[in-house]
Amino acid sequence: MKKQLFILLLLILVNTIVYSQTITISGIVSALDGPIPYSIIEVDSTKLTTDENGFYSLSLPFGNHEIRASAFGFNPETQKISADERKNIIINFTLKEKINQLEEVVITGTLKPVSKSESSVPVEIYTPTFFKKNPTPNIFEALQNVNGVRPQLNCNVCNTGDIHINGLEGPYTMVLIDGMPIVSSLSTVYGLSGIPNALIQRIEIVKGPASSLYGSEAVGGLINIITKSPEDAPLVSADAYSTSWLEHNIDLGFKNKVGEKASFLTGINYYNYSNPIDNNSDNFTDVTLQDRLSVFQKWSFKREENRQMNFAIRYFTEDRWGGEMNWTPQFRGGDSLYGENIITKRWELIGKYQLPIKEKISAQFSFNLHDQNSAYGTTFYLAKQKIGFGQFLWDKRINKHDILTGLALRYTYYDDNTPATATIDSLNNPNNTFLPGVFIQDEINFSPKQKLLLGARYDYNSNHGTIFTPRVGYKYALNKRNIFRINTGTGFRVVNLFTEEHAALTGARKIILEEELKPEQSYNMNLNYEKKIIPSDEIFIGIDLSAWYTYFTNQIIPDYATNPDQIIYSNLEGYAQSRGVSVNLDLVLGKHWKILTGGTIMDVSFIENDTKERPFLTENWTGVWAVTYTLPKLNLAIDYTGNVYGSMRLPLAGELDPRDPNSPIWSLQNIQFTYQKKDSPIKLYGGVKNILNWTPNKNNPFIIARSHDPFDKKVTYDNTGQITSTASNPYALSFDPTYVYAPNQGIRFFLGLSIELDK
Amino acid sequence: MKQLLTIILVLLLGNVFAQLNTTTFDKLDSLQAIEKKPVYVFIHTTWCNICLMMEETTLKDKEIVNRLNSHFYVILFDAETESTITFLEKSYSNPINKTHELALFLTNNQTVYPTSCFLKSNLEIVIKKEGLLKKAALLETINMLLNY
Repeated sequence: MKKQLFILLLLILVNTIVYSQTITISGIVSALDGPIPYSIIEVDSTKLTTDENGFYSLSLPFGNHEIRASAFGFNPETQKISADERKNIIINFTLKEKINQLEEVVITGTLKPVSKSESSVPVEIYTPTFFKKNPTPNIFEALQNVNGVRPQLNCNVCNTGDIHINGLEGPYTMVLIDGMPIVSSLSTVYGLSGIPNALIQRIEIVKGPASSLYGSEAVGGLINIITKSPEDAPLVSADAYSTSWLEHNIDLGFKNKVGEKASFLTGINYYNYSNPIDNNSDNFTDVTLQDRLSVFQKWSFKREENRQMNFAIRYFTEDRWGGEMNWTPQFRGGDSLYGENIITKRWELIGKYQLPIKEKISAQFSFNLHDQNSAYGTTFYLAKQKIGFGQFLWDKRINKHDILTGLALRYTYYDDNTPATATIDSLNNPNNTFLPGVFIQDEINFSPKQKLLLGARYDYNSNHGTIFTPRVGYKYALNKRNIFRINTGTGFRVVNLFTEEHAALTGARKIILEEELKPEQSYNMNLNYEKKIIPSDEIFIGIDLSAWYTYFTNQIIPDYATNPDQIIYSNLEGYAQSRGVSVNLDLVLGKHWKILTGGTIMDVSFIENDTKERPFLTENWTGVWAVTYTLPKLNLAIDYTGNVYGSMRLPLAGELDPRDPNSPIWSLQNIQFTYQKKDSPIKLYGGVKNILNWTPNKNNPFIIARSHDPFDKKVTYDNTGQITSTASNPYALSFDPTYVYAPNQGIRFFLGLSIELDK
Repeated sequence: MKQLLTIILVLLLGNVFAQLNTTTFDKLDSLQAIEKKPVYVFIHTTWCNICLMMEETTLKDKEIVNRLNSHFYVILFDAETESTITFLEKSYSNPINKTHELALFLTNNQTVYPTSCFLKSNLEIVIKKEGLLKKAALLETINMLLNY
């Protein structure tokens, strides 16, 4: 302003000194909210630009003139002057912004909820934007919105769960954090519910084997959780919500710089549910009570040549219990009141360091300690697991070849109080497994259209010998709208009964091993076609079609049916298969509608002695959807999310068991309203979960068998060991909490507030 | 046989649009030395479907293509590219495989996809428009810029 005034004064001065037949006209072109820099002034045939403060000045001969001011995005304005005496005239313009009807609401694609990798392997990428359409406290519950992925509860009382991908049970899926195998075995049982959503930068999901890069366990699929970095986190963030069941979830995050080169991100998640509810009146808690804390810190360092160096540490502790409504910790392990109480403590350390050399070689390492102290009724299960992992990765580009090769070593220590880790003389004998491996992957970019991926991995398991897992992938992108992929690979898995089978470790059923269990080996083929249709500038249709076939030479399928008190394990005399097709649709309709939906039809079965059978708890079809309707004028977004599952065979506890042997077609549906002003850091959200109020109690007399006699005190047996039907036990059952597949939690409301500050 | 197949596919997919002539940031200097023209930068990403919508509709419209081809240098800029780009004698890179520093610079750290960014021939930013621009909106912007 001072400067303008100065120039103005100077001009006036100069003009009064130099006599001429001209006048000086000056002024400022501004909009309602301030001057417009570089706007245009036109007089007669002269055209000039104002300075950055919207100021202009020019000399004109005497006479009548028309001065036109215009600026980009504004309506031009004209003023007439008649200059007949030597005078300095100030003419200011205030331009009105051009209102463009077409741009009132703009569609942008900045928040990517779901996308697909450029790779020849079909990797689906989900971001927090996607998961926030139906807010959940942890990854386990969040995955219910992903097509072909079904989080399943395995225990009515303690609510442990596993993740089914394309109909295959949890242990067939490998879960990684930042590419590190730290969620295996023991920690899958309660580990996934301990990973808060606030930690996630994105989740990558591969359906089908991904063994060559990540290890042979990824038979059915892979879930790779990529954690946030200080670089992509807001300065301060807070998110809290509560439900009408009095479940409370709080996420806090903040980052800071330490000196010029280091920065860190801290994330704290606290979840609490301590309000026992028994809506189905079986005197058992409907939902497990939980008290959980997760503290995460990630450090990132700036280095020369943008080399990477970061490490993260996480501590997680959880105390959960379920059981008879009046259970308190003093009844832990006793036989007067039934309760299942699991106390978990867990440490995780993850790091990455790129070597300071010209070649792109990085060292990655992780270590975790998992300590589970649990009491299932009177059965104690005390287990410790340590996994150390390290690998060197060399990323090298030679012409068309993008080569990634690595050397990995995984060490697993596992010890518990069961005979699984004891010698024949009942001495403790913890499991130590070393798993060194070497792998190489070459992605050949023949042309922008074609990519071929060749991969091979060779692992040596100190208990089972060598494992070789090759893979081939091919991608053909006809153009940006039509992409084909074909992938084949193998998988190899060794069963660990105790850590995988929750029913096994609760002691509700006895475990019978009929023979020595052999490893499971699988062969898979996966076809994928991505098509994008853009019929107009209002509509986008993305179709992602997949078909797969997986053949298992052996599969260890627990047999619950032969004897209701036992789980019998044996090798398969035949083969097992999983095949199916899935489709994902991504629709944008005009300015208001965004729809993500998908469906999967599958046939998971095992073939033994020429008879085909579907395993328990395996559905034939599933569907998911997330429909978003935005009302930008009201700053409101409405999300309608849900899933639907086909019928599954359920394990009954005896021939007289009155419970439904098949689950009905069931669906969980949610609705959420989100209010956020444009560019505001504050977001308010709330809605209804499970609007259909569906629980597995529907059409069942009970879901926990003999919940009133959890210690089987009134169960009578005949001389063959079979339960007899009595007046007090008409169905000849024993206590059984394993008939479960879905959350026993009906309709509830939630309300939350989130704040993100960047500066 | 292969050609026939290609022709059939092209016909099937209705890919009979005018072709946009595009260039890259590296070539801008030498191009501007030959002929001075303003620059249109279309900031997008590989996963951004809304960007693809605009690419496949607005940016394939005959009138738009003609206007852009004859009066502008056009750059389709993938905001997540890994390559280092020199712009106005300053080097921009993408150290953490996220948003490219140049995309952040062009959008003043608030990257929205897609963004249509118009530069003068001296690479000074004139205006940026966020979101999917339909034909009328982009044409209006182009015409205003050319009259400007």
